[in-house]
Amino acid sequence: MVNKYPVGVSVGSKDDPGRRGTITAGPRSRSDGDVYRIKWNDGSYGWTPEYAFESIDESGEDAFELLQRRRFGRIGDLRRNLTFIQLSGRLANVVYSMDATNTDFLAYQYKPVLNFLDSPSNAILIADEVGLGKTIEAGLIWTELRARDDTCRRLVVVCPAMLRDKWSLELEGKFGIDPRQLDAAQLTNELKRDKNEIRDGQGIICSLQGLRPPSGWRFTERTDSRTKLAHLLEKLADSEPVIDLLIIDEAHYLRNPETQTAALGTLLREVSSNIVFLSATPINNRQEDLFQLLRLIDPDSFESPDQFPQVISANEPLIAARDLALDPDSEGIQILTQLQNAEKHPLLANSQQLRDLLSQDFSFEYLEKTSNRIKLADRIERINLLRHTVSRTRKVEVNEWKVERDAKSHFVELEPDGVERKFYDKVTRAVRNYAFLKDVSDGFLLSPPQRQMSSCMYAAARSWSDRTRISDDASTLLYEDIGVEDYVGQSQAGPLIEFIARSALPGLDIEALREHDTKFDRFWEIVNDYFDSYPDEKIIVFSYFKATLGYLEERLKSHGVTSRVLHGDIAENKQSVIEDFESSADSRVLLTSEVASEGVDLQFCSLIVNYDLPWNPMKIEQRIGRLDRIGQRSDKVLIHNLGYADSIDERIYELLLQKLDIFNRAIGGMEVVLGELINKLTSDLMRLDLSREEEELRINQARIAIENVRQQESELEEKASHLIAHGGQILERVRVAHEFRRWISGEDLKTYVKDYLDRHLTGFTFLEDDRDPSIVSIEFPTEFASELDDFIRRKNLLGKSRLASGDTIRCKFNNRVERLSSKVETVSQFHPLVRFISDSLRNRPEGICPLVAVSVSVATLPDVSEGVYAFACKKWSFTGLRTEEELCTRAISLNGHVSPLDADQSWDLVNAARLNGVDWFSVRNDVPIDRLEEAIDRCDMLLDQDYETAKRERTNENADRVNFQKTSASRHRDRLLGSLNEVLERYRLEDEHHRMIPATEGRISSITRKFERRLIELRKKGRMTPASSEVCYGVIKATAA
Amino acid sequence: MYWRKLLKVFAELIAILRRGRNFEINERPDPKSRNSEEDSIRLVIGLDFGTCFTKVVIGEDRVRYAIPFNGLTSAENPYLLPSRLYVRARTNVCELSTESQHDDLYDNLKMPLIDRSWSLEDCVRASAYLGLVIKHARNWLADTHGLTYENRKREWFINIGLPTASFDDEELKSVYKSIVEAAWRASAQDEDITLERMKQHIHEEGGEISGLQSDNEAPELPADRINTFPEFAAQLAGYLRSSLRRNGLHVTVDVGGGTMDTTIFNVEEFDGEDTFPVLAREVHELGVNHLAETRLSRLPQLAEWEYSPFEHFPTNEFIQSNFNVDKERLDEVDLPIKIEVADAIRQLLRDTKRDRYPKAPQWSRDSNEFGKPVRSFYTGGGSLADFYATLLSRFEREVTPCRLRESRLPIPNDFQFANDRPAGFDRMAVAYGLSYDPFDIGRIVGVDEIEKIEQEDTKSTFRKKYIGKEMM
Repeated sequence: MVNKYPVGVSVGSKDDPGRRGTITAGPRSRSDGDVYRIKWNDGSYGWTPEYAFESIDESGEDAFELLQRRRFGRIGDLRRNLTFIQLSGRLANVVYSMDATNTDFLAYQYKPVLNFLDSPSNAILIADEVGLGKTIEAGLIWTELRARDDTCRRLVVVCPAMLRDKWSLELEGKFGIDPRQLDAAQLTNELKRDKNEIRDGQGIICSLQGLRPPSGWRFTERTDSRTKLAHLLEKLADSEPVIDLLIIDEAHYLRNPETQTAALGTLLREVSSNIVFLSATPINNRQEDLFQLLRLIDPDSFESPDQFPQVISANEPLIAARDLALDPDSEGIQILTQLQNAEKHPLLANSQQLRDLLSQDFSFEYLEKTSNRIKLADRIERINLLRHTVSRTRKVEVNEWKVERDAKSHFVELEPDGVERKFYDKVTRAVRNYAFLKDVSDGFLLSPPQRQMSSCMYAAARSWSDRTRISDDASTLLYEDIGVEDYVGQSQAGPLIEFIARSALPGLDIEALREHDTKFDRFWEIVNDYFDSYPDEKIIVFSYFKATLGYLEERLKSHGVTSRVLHGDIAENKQSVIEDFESSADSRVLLTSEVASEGVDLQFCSLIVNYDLPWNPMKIEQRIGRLDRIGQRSDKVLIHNLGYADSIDERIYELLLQKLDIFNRAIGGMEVVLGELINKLTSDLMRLDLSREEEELRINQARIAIENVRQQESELEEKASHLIAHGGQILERVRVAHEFRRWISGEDLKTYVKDYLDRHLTGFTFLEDDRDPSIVSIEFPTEFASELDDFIRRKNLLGKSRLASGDTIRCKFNNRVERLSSKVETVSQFHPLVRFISDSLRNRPEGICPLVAVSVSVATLPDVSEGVYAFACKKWSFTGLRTEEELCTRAISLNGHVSPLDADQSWDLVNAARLNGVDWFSVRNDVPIDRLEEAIDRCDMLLDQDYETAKRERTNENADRVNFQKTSASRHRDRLLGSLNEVLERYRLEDEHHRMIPATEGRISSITRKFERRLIELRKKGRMTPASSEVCYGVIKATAA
Repeated sequence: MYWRKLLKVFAELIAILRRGRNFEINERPDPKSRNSEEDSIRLVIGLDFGTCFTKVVIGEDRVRYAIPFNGLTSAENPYLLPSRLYVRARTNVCELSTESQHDDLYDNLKMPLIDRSWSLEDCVRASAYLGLVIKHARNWLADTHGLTYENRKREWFINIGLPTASFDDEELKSVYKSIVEAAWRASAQDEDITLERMKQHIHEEGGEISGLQSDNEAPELPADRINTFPEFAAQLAGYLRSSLRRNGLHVTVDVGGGTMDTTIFNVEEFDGEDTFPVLAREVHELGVNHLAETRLSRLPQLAEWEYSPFEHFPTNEFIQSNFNVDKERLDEVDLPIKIEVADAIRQLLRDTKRDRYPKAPQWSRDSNEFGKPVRSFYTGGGSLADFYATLLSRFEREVTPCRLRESRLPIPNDFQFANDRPAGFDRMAVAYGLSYDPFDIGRIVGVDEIEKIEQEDTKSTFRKKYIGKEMM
């Protein structure tokens, strides 16, 4: 017998050319010819007749050769081709963080991610309204950065101290990050470590207050940790960034450039390669506020306040052109006119993109197609390089969840001669007398006793009789209601309480206040009714005062209702109190101070009771915002407001809060200005002995002032929109990406890993769990385990996998970021094994079959009709200032009358085939090969044309970006050198600082060198290196069902 | 380069105009434009000829098609064809279904073969039935996937399953092969299949059944294209090629209409070839028919119940509520069979532990696997009945002789169903496995080929046999 195929010969299946193998035995003779045993690359063995395989060249085959021999790959080959490119590349049109975190999919939350990826300064201000999940958006950006760049290791979150625990929980639970809370000294040590030593998946959380440098730190020799940190940060600013992503939460605290908090922001900014600022209130009555934040984010683009209006005016015609492009009724000439106007602006005079755009087709025929209009709008947007600096989503724009707010007020009548009325009048009088006698005009100081009494008379009287208890409450109240950062008047509250206690408490029967507590009675009715209707629901009750909360707890308990109390003095961490409350079947009511109005999620409840009423509308919004946020299951949030009739509270409620429609309309970003207005109002109401009419007049004046601010704010918002990319288009990109699953699923990862192991490794174990196919027990042979271990060490992925130990490890293929658990190891796209495989495949020709035939239903693709389509798919990469890769396809119907699908339709078709396609075996008898070849050739040609266009656009964009950065870098250098030269001059004039001169001169020279290097680098990156490589070709049968 | 491509496009446009029509999806290309190359393709018919139902899968390298029998069986699961042959009263034409009550019905086609009581008539009927089945399957393939195999030389194979107990019964294997050979010939002819015509393909001499040399134009299938395999090995094909596969001790319990077939075997691989040393096997007449008969005889309330082995076995709850039978009473009636079934399995495990494989990791105290359950597959339609499902699940909690844990046979990616996949893939597993190349189904080492371990002689030659020495 002639042995045509000796053992070891490489062969491929004729009917399944992606299936390759090696002869291991044979031949055996049989009636159908010689049969050989082959070990296939999917790990299986099989006896195969000679007629079913052919010997192959290891280097792989060309798609067109395969086509000539009618050898078509299968659906698995298409998936393999695309998954490999997606996992090993860094594709611009793939959102890697999508569905890779433990968060629900909400399209608008990816807006900042996409904006950030396009941001030329690698910085963004996320200014979403309260409750839309800014923390999640920042986490998604970090996830995306990690996916795209293996070297991203150091994440630093800086937030108000009270939000640190929330950040820890969110990072750990939703993003699989191991959080560490550090103080200034610890952060100083941390930043001294080499960034490459940091293990993947860690995050640092610090408080703004804890890091803020003391004033005058630069000129002092102090050795406190914050000063040391500031000096270190300043020193590090001259070298490569040590922080990969800096997130500053509640960034509005940095708005005032004079504060040390802003100084901290600047110091951190200089050592960070990527920046995310979060603030719901970036625009605060003054255009300068927004400008200051933007200057912190991107100091080189927003150098002086005068430049801001210039940027806005330069963008105006671009915005107009973009809007016209999206308006189907507009004409080409209108768009062109606006673009020509834009070109006249000095800031855009050198824009290569604009110049290129002006030469494009604005014909009626071109604009007739919606997809062309969208493409045009996108190109116009790309000219405005600052358009991605701010990302803002308002609740009204969000469709994912809509919650109705139903507010009810309960102002209880007091008996005219009852004990409550008498006590109320006495205290009010005592406060006014005190203000008159001591000539106090400060509303902060005067309001707490009055407000505490309005909260709960019995609790107030009881706490005043024990005079030490007022100050803590008062400080909380003042901070929370008026929004000042540092309250200094705390110690001054004591005398007023003494005064009230002397004036109002003598002769008062405190217990009678408890027995005749009209407000509690009403509260109890509300609670009772609610529990009758919703026996499994829970209630949130807010009050400013610990004494009130304690009292309510006591009274509810006497009615058989268990509650949890949460305020600043509770030793337990507030997150764990809330988690306990949520999970405990016994606890029905959460009694909380303002501690729970910021940074926590209470959307598991839908009834909120304001036992006392904040006067500041922002505070009301914050309280409600805890419930009216993503995750609220109910379609309605009930708000019950309690107070006394004929009181200041009632007048504030009716004249201010209700008229401003505060319970239904968010107040937006007016925090500081509202604080000032409310402070003034409080002061007037407390200090002056006003008649009811006069009180009403003052309240009305405050309301009008607030309405004016609101009006100004919306005008400012309108202007700021010039810096915000068109949300609709970005959302559309997000939705498309989600709909067609342009991300990587757990199943994709499993196939990817298994495929690699089958093809490149022997002696491994890969055993699926009986009950859950996503769980697999994996064990590697020693040599491979050691290679993996080496990779893990090199890439600093220690602690991320136990597979390198050579032991059998249970792994779950699930593309979600998770921390390493002791039982099952999650394999996501970040897992060391997946990274190892991608790394290895980049350097090894894989030989995936480059020609495929697939059949798929196109019922869900409105723009693609039934028929047979040829397609070509290529990967483009553009390396300039940054490297962008793109997977691009073109498909064309074999029916000659139909024009080729555009790039998006083609991608939709190919991606639908990847996801839902099935093998099309009869293709070689179904389709005339010569026609198919022609069509594939044409797709190839169309793709080449698309590539040329993309290359031109990217080159222009890169040139614009490089010019932008060159200008920014020069400005930055001039700014730094200017200030250092000033310092140097001062040192030269002041004898005491003479010894600092050499160091300063050294810094000047180091900065000069650093910027020289930077400019050379930018010049290099100004030359774009484009490349296009083939991914696969094929034919798709698009069917109706 | 572009101008060349452009020229090609123009040439194409001109060609389209000349043709005056466009290519449509349902329109076949001009045969002239097709490549004339005729690659051969191997097609394997996997025949799971069951007592109650027959299942068929046709396999090639890329895909295995479950053959539906729409119109010939219940709509619920079109892949299960009742093993019943109808012979038309007047014409003697054989059919797989009938609407006439006058036709003859033969539904005991397999039992005479496996209990070795066959006559020529039995063989002819079985052959006629299988001829109709093969014909249906080939027609279905031609109608549904004809284009895929057009212009290809089709190399056919037929693999048919045998009960494990009969695997090494050479005489039975020979009868099966003769029956299939005759069935193939009959299926390839255009004329109707009748019992008389079948007799032209099969005969008996001295009590030996064999195929006749073709005296007409009926195409023959070479002898090496028809093969028999034990059902238990065939049904593992999908499992063995999946990530679920474990080497080592396994149990299968196949509950059919008439019998309960228990096999204890090892899964091993030698140089890429699967090998199954069968440690113990037993066939008991403890299938669902036995259960039904017992219930019918002892529960008068069931007088109205029309038991049919071709329908789902009713749930206990159905019996209780529809025939007013107490749960306690039903349990009492079932108890003796329960003991019988459990004892049958237990005894086989005990024998294996004592005589066949005393050092299996699952019961060897020095092994890491000690006390871990043995992977088990419960197959056959009867295993889904409440009685068997509950009973078999209890073996997961048994301690002696060992625990059994049921594993589901995975549904292989290349298994293609014409409609939605029916529930109970397990029932198709044998036919699926039989659709592999005969060389790939694995090597069975019969019970008799493995020496019994004498308790005193632990150094037996067993080591030299088919169980890896690490298991000793």
